[in-house]
Amino acid sequence: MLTLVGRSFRRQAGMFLSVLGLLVAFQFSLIAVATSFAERGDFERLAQMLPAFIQNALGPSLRSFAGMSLIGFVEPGPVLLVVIFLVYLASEPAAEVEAGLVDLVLARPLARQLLITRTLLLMAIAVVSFEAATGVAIWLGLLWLAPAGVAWPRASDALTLMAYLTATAWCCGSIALAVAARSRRRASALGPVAIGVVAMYLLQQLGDVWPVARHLAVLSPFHYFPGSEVLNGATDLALNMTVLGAASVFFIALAYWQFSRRDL
Amino acid sequence: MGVPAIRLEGLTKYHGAVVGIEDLSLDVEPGEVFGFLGANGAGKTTTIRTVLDLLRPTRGSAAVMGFDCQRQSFESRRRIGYLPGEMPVYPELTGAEYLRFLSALGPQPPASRTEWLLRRFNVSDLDLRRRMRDYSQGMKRKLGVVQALMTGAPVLILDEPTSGLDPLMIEAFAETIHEISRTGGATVFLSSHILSEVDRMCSRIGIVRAGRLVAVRTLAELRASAPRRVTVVFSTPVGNSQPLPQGAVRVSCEPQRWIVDITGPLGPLLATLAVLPVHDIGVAPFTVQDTVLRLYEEGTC
Repeated sequence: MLTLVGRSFRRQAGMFLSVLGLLVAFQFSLIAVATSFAERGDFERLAQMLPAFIQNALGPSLRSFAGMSLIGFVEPGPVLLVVIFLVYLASEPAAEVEAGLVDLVLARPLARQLLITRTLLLMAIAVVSFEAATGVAIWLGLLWLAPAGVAWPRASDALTLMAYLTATAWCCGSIALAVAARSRRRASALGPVAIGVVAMYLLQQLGDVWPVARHLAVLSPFHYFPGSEVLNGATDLALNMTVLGAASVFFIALAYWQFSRRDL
Repeated sequence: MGVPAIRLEGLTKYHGAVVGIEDLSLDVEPGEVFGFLGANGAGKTTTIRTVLDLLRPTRGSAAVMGFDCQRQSFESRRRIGYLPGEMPVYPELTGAEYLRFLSALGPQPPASRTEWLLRRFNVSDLDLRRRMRDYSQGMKRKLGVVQALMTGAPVLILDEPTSGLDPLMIEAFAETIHEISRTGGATVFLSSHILSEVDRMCSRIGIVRAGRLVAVRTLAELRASAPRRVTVVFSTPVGNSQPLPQGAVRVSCEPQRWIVDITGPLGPLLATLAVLPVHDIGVAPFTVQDTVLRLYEEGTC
């Protein structure tokens, strides 16, 4: 198993390190911007200038130094970057079938399911590394850049957002894995799921402002990732995690089942 | 009778409505070098991939050394060394890393065997340090052969093993196969459409055509059953009323030149010709190629 994980990790190392670097750099930049805002008193000015409903629409991330420090866990750019990367990793079984590598590996005495387990481990390593790196970047950024006297983000908020992002990315990755487990080409697994993920994200955004989309938005994994509510201190963590967790378990089980009985 | 090295029983695989293979039954005995012949798309690779449990049969079963390829897939694959028809590579790996990776997946090969194979196929340390993306097709194939043979598995399944190899390496491959099967007792199941190689390496062949096994013969049986082409030149014109013995068929009949295909002993034909003004006789030697091509075309044995 370690051999398989090591091999796959090495293949993806360049892209993995690029995403990691991007997330860390973005996080540092956010704290630098938040510091600049705090030093100029922009957060207070925004609060005075903008009506309450606009402030609500902008979300808590733009209302305080602490909120802005954590938007790396909430904003669409970094969130979709993490999710899409996991979807990409999850499509590896289809890539191996496409390239014929599965013939080489599974001619050896290995259980088929190991390839799915290997991909899950890789996804876990990736998402934990991203979260940890972002967390460390926030902490170091605050240590080095934060002006004296401003309130730092609460550790509990950061951990809750990490848990949400992990669960949401994992859920989307599981869907991709289930699709990849029956695909013969990486593109046919990766493309539709990646587009679907973006569509689900947009559906959730629409659901926030348009009642018609609100009912459909319950189908989106992002519906169960209420980033702004976490920063406001109001979220049903247990319910959301249960839904995301149950969906992940279902799609992972589906992936194992399909891969074990398909023609490779 | 011991357990066959490979046993196929009514093995059938449909790809949707398309027949991959149908009702294939075959035993390959331990120590045998078995050639599996067929035109492109005949079902050779489908058969091999079903034995490896990469494809699931629609009907029937396959077993390696008595282990069912589907229900006891792990045990059967533990006994197989496999060379795929199209060699998949990790382009970013060096040759040495590639072999190390595959060794780590098991079974662990003895280092001395790998070294012997690398020497035999003329793969240098310098070659092993190069990335596989820079390898030629032949070099990839050589490494593929090495990885298949290095584990010392008792059953070797090789899908078109010599494609892309140069004549020297084909020679090395043939010698290695002989050595491994004779001294090591390994069973070799190799698919090919290069008939001269099969003629040289295999003791028995199976011919698959449109997914069906149309003939399984030893080379000796093939030779015995193969018609030989006899060309007879007469010093003066002769008619064509002379009856020919059983097993002989006139292919061409000119006044001073007959071409006759004969199956079985030549004696009766020579006796018939003895009363005619024969100037010269030529007998074309048997080739597996002619017989196999005939079987390809007829689809019967």
